[in-house]
Amino acid sequence: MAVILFNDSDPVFNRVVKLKFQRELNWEVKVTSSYDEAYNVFLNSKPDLFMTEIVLNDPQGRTVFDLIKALKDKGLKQTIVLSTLGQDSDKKSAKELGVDHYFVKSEISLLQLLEELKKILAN
Amino acid sequence: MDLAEQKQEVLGFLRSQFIMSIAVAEDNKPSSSILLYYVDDEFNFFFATHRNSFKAQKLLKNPQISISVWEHKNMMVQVDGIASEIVNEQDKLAIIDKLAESAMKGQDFWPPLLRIGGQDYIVFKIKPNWLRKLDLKRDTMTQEESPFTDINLG
Repeated sequence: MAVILFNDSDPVFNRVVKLKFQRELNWEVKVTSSYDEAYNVFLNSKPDLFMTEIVLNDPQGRTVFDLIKALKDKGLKQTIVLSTLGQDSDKKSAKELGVDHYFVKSEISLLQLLEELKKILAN
Repeated sequence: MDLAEQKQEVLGFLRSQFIMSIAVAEDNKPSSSILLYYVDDEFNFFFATHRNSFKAQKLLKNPQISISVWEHKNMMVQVDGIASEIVNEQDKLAIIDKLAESAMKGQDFWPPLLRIGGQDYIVFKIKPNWLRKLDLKRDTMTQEESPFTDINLG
C-alpha cells in the first residue's frame, strides 16, 4: 500500500483530502500542517510520496523549500506541490528546487488529482 | 412505531444524508443556505463555515436557526434549534473530522467551503428544540392521517 505524506495548514482541506485518498485509492495518508510535524512524520513513516502546499506559516520563517531540502537529505524521492499559488515564478522556483510535479488547487479537481497521482505512483 | 423506533428511523435517515438547508435571521430578515453537516446521537447538528460568512455573522448575533433535510420519496426532517460556537480547539478538530467523513457520503463531492478560500473556520453546534419528520414514501395523492410526526426530543 502506498504511503503519502500530505502537508497543508488548512485543517478542513487536509482532512477531506486524507479521507478521499484513503477511500478512493486505498492509500495510507498521513497529514501534517507544519514544518516540524511534516519533518517528524516523514522520518517515522518514510512515505512513497510527499505532497505539500507551498504556503507554510512557519514561526521560524522556514519555507516549504527548506523543508523539501531537509527531507531530500533524509531520503525523500518524489515531491508534489499542491498549492493555491499558481504563478509561473512559483512553479519555476519549485522546479529549480527539485519538485517533481506542481498542481494548482484552482486548476484541478479531486478526481483529476487522483488520476495524476495514480500515474505518478505507477512510474 | 414507538418513540425510540421513530428516533432511530429519523437518525438513520439523517445519517444517510450529508447536506442540509438552513435558515437564519437578523433584524427580521431571513437568509438561507445549504451546508454539509454531521449529526450526533442526540440530534445535535454540526457544521463549519468561514467566520466572515453571512450565516456565521448572523448566528453570532441571533442563534435561532431552522434546518431541513430532504430526500425525494423518502423523508423530510425539519428542525428548529439554537446554534452555539464550538470554541475548544480539540473539539473543533474532532467535529471537522466528522464533517470530512460526512463529505465522503457523496461520490466526487468536494465541499464548496474549500473553494471559497481562507482558513478562519468557525464550527457551530445546533441543539434542537423541535423536530418533526414528513413521510414521503407514500405515493397516494392524499392521505387521511397527517404525514407529519413530531418527535419528542425529551
